[in-house]
Amino acid sequence: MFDVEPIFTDHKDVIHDVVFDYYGRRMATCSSDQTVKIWDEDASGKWNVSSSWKAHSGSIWRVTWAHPEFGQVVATCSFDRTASVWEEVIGEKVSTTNAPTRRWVRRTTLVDSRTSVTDVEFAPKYLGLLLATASADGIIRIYEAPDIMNLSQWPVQHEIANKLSLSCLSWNKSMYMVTQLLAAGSDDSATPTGKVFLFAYSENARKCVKIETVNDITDPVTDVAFAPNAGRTFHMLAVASKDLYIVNIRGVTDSTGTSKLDIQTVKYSDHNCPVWRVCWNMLATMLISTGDDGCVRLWRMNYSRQWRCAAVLKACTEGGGPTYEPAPPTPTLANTASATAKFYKKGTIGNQVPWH
Amino acid sequence: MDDDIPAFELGDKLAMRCGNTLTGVFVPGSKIALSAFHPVKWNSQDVPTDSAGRDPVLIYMAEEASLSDEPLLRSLLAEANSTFATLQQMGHMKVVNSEYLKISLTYRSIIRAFLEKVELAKKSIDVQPSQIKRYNEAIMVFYAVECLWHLFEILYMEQQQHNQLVVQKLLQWARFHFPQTEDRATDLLLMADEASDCDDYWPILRTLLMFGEVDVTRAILCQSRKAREPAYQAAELILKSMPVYKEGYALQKFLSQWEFWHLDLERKLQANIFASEPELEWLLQLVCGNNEQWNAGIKTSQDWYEFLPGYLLYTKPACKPFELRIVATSWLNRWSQLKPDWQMSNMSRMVMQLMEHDIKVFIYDSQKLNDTHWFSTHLIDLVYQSGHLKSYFEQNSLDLPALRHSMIYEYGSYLMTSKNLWQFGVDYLDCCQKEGEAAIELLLPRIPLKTERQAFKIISLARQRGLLGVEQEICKVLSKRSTQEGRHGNALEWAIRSKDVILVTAIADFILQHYSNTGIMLCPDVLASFGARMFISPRLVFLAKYYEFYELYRKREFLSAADLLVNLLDSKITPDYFWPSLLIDAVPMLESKDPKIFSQETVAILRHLETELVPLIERNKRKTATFSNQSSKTVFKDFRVENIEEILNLMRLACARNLSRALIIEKTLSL
Repeated sequence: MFDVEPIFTDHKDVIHDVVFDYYGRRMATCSSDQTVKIWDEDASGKWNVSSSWKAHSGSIWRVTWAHPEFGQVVATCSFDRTASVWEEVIGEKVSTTNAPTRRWVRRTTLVDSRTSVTDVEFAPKYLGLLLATASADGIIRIYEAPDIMNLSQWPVQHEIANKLSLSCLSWNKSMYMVTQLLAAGSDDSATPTGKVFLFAYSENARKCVKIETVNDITDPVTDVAFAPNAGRTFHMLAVASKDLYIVNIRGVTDSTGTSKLDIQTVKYSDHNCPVWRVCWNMLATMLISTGDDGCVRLWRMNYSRQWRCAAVLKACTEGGGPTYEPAPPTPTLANTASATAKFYKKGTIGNQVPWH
Repeated sequence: MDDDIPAFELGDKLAMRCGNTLTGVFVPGSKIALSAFHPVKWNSQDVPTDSAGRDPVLIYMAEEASLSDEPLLRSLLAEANSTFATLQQMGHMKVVNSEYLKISLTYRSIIRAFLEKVELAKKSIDVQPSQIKRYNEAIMVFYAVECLWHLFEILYMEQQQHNQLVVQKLLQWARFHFPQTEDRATDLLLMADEASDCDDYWPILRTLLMFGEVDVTRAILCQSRKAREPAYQAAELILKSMPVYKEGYALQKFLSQWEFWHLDLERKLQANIFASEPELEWLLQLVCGNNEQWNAGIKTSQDWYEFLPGYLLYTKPACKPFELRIVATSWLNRWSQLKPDWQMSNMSRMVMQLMEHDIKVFIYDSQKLNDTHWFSTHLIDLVYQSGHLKSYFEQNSLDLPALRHSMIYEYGSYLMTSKNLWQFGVDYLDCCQKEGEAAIELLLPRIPLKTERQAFKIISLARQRGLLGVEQEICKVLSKRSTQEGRHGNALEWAIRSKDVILVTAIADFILQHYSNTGIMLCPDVLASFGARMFISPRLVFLAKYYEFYELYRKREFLSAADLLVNLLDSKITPDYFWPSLLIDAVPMLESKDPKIFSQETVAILRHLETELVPLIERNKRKTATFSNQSSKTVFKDFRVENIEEILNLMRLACARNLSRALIIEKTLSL
């Protein structure tokens, strides 16, 4: 059984990204309505909007949080060809009883792209305050804030051009084997070539270069995500394409003594339709995939280290109508709406999703 | 197993629209955020979707229903945690089976104590209806857990050391989990000879016998007004003489005694000795294991296994665990034939699995209990540690060590990501080798830092495990947070703790710049107390030393202040932006009527003025010239140096005047 708590977002159009901060206590949402909203969870577990602002002049595709040691910082990217960095500042205390006001200030607008900026992500903190963007013209740009006390300067550090349009990117969080490893995917459907690319910093070239293409995946790719690494000796990359893929990347040393990457791709066709998004949990023991079939699939690694679908969460209901009829978002009704609704569960066995 | 995947339905209007779907992301912790998703291609037009402004846009925070945020459960989790730790300790030594049995008993008594506590809480006056519902749920779940654990203990742990006879143990188990009859029996005993007037006198006696309570039945019968009659006397004799197996008996001898006794009973029943007392005869038919009477009994029972141990007592008193499988299966068949519309509950099925020795399925099903995997994790660990069932797992190609590792890992990480329970989680992850350590390293810094006290706790846990990165990360986060809140002293303290030179320098810079811009020294109390810690960053050394000068000056100890100032000027650690400020600080002392600065020092100041400040001004000028679009004051934003040229002249004059005064007083020419 799942307990479900609905939240009225008051976004005027579909949400493209829901992202949580490092602790899971703050949430950022961005939408086609060109606004970004920041939410805070209060002590009783309720989510309240603490800020909402029009951030771009186009649909906002993605939002990303920086590590909290850089402060409260998010970056957004949009159809309007820009990416922006926002920082929360605390105003002067007006009185002793009221909490000081907080607002989000635009620190910079990154205008280098000439096409829609499709993805944006802060690098893992050990690399400093770095931000990567992917754009529809196939360029990955890596920006760096040299002064962490002043986030208004974001010079471009690397610029990597690709032949295909890019739809998504993901930083590898782990320092194992390769540093500064970055994956990007393309949703180009015209060419039958590999659609997932790996980039890393090359000591020789002194810049970020493409080191590998995953040739097993030739269908358009809409999302990639590196798994957090809890003691594994290889990297895992989840890829959303025509199917769900998990790409295992190992560093191997061949007979001549040069090290290279060994790439092994595993396909999961349970959705039986395109997969749009993928998301790992904190320890990479679970994975969520979003299918076009109106289903979210929850995957779990079992004790013999195989990935198995552990649960399916469906948008629709058997009867067709919504089980949870949302009330119009007026203040009085919002209260009743926030009362806990329950998922209807098929079958009668058990209460909990088994682990193994 | 594919059909076995549990499916849940949400019913979101927007997600159900044509072209849309449902998406989900993990929330750090144990939740999932679900929302409608509208796929877009990079080359599609950016126009509002059809549903824009029509369907409400919702996010659903979904969480697997669990009891773990129930405050009463905390003690259960805490006690289980320490028992678990004890068990891990034992794993390193060779201990006898009875020790493992003790652990098993401890776990069970923890559950029983918890159940009692919940029952008590249910009765408190200010309890809310919603809470009662939760309490009932908790009671249901953990009651089942205790019942199953108890049975597991009897069948798979105790048999190792005893004579393998399970009937008596099973009887105890059944009586404990169906306690109502025992209560009624006590009532009957207290009523003495009036008991037989009760309407349910005979039904209770029947039930008592079916639970194998021969002695209690006898005691009640003896109190009867008819106790002196021959039928009662005969019954008393039969029940009294029923052979009961005791420790140390030869099994064969017991069995032949029992056979003899049983035949005797059959004969007496056939001889219609009890025909005058049909109710009494019914009882003895039960004792004889007569099908007709037992079938009638089955119809009154609540669950299939309720009277099975009693039936065994009268029909197969020397039953061994491996024989139980067959007996239980046939008993269940018989039961479900008599109760065709009965639906098997989860727990009944799991009891069956245990009796049928179907451990693999039992382990799978035990993970479906709504106990956040408390039971399955601890039980599997105990099974692993004690080495019981080893051959079973090998035969069924179930990798027990891997399963145990994985269960503990999941349970530990689940606790660590749950609010307020993370401290318990650490202990479980600690026994997951490298993977556990890596998990702690990932999860520990992500525990929300509510107070500094909590931060210190997390830091000390990280330290114990040598996770320096975690400590550093927490310090940096707290430093940044303090900066944001304008608590600069605190920010500096945490930055120093984090040992991050760049961060320390950045904050020291901020404080120095703030001073040179406003003349206000931030967080003086902190600046006075660095001690040797200042050597982490040259900038911090400068800040500390400058603050020392600032204090001396404020206390009007001009001679020492001047000395320190000259030292600072010579030190080569002065940041560019601070030169004007530092030199201007010298002016009042240079202009003093009675000289505070000796001639040599005056010359030094003059030299720094010409070799440091003047080139700096030149550089600044050039920069401003090349980048005319930038504001002219990239280095000197200081309000005191707006007219830097003027100040330069002022300083030169002040130096000259002080030099002459000093020279006269010193009466020496050392040029």
